[in-house]
Amino acid sequence: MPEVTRRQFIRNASIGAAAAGVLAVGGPGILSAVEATVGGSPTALPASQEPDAQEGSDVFARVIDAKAGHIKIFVGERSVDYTDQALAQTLLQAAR
Amino acid sequence: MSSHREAPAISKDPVADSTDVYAFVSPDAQSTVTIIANYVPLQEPAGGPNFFEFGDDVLYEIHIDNTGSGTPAITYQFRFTTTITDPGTFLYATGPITSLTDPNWNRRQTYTVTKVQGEVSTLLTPMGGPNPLSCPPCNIGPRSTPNYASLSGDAIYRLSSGEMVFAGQRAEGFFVDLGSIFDLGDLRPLSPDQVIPGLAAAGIDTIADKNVHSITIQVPISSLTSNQQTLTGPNDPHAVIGVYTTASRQTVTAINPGTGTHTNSGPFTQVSRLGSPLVNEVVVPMNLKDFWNSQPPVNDSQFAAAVQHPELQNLLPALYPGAFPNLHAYTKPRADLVAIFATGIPGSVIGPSFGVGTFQGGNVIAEMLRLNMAITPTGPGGAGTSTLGLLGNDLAGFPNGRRVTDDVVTIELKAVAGATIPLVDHTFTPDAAVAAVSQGVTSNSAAYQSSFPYLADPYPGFSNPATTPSSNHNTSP
Repeated sequence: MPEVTRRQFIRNASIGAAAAGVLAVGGPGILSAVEATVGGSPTALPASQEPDAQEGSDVFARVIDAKAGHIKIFVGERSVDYTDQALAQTLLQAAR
Repeated sequence: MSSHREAPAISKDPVADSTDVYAFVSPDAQSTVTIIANYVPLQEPAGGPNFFEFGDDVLYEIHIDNTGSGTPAITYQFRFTTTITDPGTFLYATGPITSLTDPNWNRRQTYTVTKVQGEVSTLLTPMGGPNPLSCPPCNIGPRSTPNYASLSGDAIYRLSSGEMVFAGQRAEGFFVDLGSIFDLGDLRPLSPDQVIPGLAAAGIDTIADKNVHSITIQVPISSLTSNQQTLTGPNDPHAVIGVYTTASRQTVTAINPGTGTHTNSGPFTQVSRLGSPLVNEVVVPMNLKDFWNSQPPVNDSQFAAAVQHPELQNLLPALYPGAFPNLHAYTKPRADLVAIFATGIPGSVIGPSFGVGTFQGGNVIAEMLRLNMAITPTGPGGAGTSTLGLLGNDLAGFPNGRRVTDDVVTIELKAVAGATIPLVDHTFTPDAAVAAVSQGVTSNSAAYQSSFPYLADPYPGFSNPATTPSSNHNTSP
């Protein structure tokens, strides 16, 4: 099997192939930071679904479908399904 | 362990590997049911320097379906925590461990028990004892664990909600000739008739003198019935429960580079499950074993074809040419195996007076160990007792639940070979060879206990393998 470079993987993800990239960040700051840079309006999370990202707990984001913006967020013992195409693209660009 | 290393993924994760489930009316406390859930298979007793443990990052669960829905109505959850008294030493014990609170015990595990019923989760507390509860240490030898029976006895707790519980190392209770069976399906007693013939011999318990980690819970029957009442008899519509166990891990595991640590995140995801013995081992095909471990029993209709037309049924006539002509000619779906493993056996099949495993209200295909709690247990060696359970006319044995003494390997081999087809198809006559089908091992290497937790104290590392002396104490004055 030919070795797939990260650049090829991300390009494939950006044109609609299902992407399973996982980005781990420490602490809950990434979401607010990304919102600030993207400037768009991501799908708002109902308060009941907000991750309980306590101080010091790691947050993991998995881009399931970059084209659709489907992101799965893991924190503590929970997961949250989140949809934001711009955020998904930002995460993939950050992973290059 | 009837389900040890039975799937590719879980074979690489022994701490989460569900190896055996037993469920039986407690012979010495017949108003209760005992459920034994074993994990961490094939433990060599001499397991140092890092002795075997439960996983702190694993969610262990015992599930009980008491309505026939295929989903659990009651779940007992077990979570473990490891504490180290002196991290500066490499030793598990810094001196003889004489009690569960002995400071010489450097690396110990404690645990909590949570009962989930509907939307309510309740942390169960022990009567007058510590919380969290303590596992006993592993059985090391006469210097480190000099009075092991006392240590393990102190690790039995009565909970204020009525259950009795134990979690820790025990002697392996399963017995099986692994070496022969998985050598192209050879049964040593029948080797001369195998397609690659050999000499006839008694079976060898390949896992003799091994240990396992066991979670054992004894529950009042009235707490398990859907109406929370005592039973009126075997035909009581609330008499049957379905039992299965699982192990789950958090969805994400990230290795923290350069630290020797890892971080877990996300909800717990099922990675192992077990109800009846040997299903994922020899019924589910290779490409579905890991998937099977991830699925709840209520989804088991997707595996029905493997049970209805088991591969092993076709292998037996090929491995023993000429011995199974009737089995070879039988092409109907195996409704008997579906009943044994997936739906429960109706009373109309077993006999006119009572049923073994049927639920009132329907037959959901869900692989579980089904137990009729109103059938009186037979004692080991007592009248009517047979290690062949139902096939030995002992209705208190497998597949009516599973006792530690049941020879489930031989029972299931005989069943697949056709012994149970007449229960559902009176036109079928089992081959004569079925009577001879046996793994050749009929009992466990360690004597079971007659009371909770029923599996014997674990084999000590110092005196195993069995050829080593049990003690080298200097008795000279």
